[in-house]
Amino acid sequence: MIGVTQEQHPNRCRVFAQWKGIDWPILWDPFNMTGSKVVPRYLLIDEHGVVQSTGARPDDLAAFLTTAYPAVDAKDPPAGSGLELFEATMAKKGSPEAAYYGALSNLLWNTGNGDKAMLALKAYARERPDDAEAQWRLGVAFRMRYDSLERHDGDFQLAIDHWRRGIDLDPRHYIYRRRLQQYGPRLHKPYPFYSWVDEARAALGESAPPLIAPLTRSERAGPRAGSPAAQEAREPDPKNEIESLKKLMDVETAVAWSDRGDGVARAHVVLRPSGRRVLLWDAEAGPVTIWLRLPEGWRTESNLLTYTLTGEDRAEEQVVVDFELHTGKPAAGTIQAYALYYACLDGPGECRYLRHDFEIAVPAPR
Amino acid sequence: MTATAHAGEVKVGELYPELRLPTIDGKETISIRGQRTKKVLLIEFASW
Repeated sequence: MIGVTQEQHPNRCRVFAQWKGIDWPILWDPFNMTGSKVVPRYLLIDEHGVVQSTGARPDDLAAFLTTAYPAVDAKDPPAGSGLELFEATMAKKGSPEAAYYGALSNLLWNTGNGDKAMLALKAYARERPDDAEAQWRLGVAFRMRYDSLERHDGDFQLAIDHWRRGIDLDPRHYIYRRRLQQYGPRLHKPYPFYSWVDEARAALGESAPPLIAPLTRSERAGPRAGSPAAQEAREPDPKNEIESLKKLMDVETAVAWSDRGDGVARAHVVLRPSGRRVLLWDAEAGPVTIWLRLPEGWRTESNLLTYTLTGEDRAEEQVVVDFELHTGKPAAGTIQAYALYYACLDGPGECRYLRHDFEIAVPAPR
Repeated sequence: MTATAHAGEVKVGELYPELRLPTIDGKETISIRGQRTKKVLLIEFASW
């Protein structure tokens, strides 16, 4: 028995497998090389590597296991690393496809040629603007880089844009659609994605695999009909009296629109210490709060967002928040925002309550 | 194989394409078709 998962983040599946006691190997296929358009799917492959079923049911298993299938004239798969096999078996050497699969394999096996691989994937997708697979895989690659230390500004938004392009070109592709729903509005989700993760990690205790990428609220959220009732919140610093120190923080934002033309979107905000001046979160002093000033006519559940720091990594922890946005008509706009946070500055060691102003650019839906 | 070739196009009676992927813990790579002499129940799924 072998499993394959197309999830973006393999560690979510690792937690699941450990929690459920799954002891068979599970392969990671973020670029959907298996070409699955639906999950779950059960395939039966005989002792000669021949597919006997692509939609097996439990009743089929007994006959499959007891049947001696005839041998076929086929070469054994070539030996070598996964990387070599990608290049050797997916395309002819020297062809455009060879460079493309080489780039995918570099990212999949994290061989350290990320920038070169991204250039190859971008060029491949640029030459094939109507190739759903190339567009969607480029989105996966952008999100991979966003989750790495090599991230570039705007990577998450580019991931969303290319996932969206892939869905527009292949609207019936369930895997593509689910990826965007993962980060999109609640109205789009048929059921929650990772609502089970906290329970699983609590049950596993210290043996739980690390998540690597923090879970967002949109990944935990279930579906909801209608728009949320706005909660009244008092603006924490309306007169801009809290001290603001520049260059302490980097901010990245991304927005995933509903594709129903209903003016609903999910906005994501990530704050991280910039590293230019060393900022250390002060988790014990209090949470990070973010105030949103929305354009006229836009609504959200609450203008005040709160993130409780774990305190596990004072220098590297990312503040990850996301919220649903109702704009009425789908339109571009800019949300003015600021974060208030407790931090200690390395060097002098002084701890302060600080403010960081930023904007959330909401692009028009495509 | 061309760029559009992948295992999703497999048909009953045909060889499963050669495809080697890493395990979710990144510790090893496995060839699905490479399990020769063994029968394979391949489950494509997601934890969500």
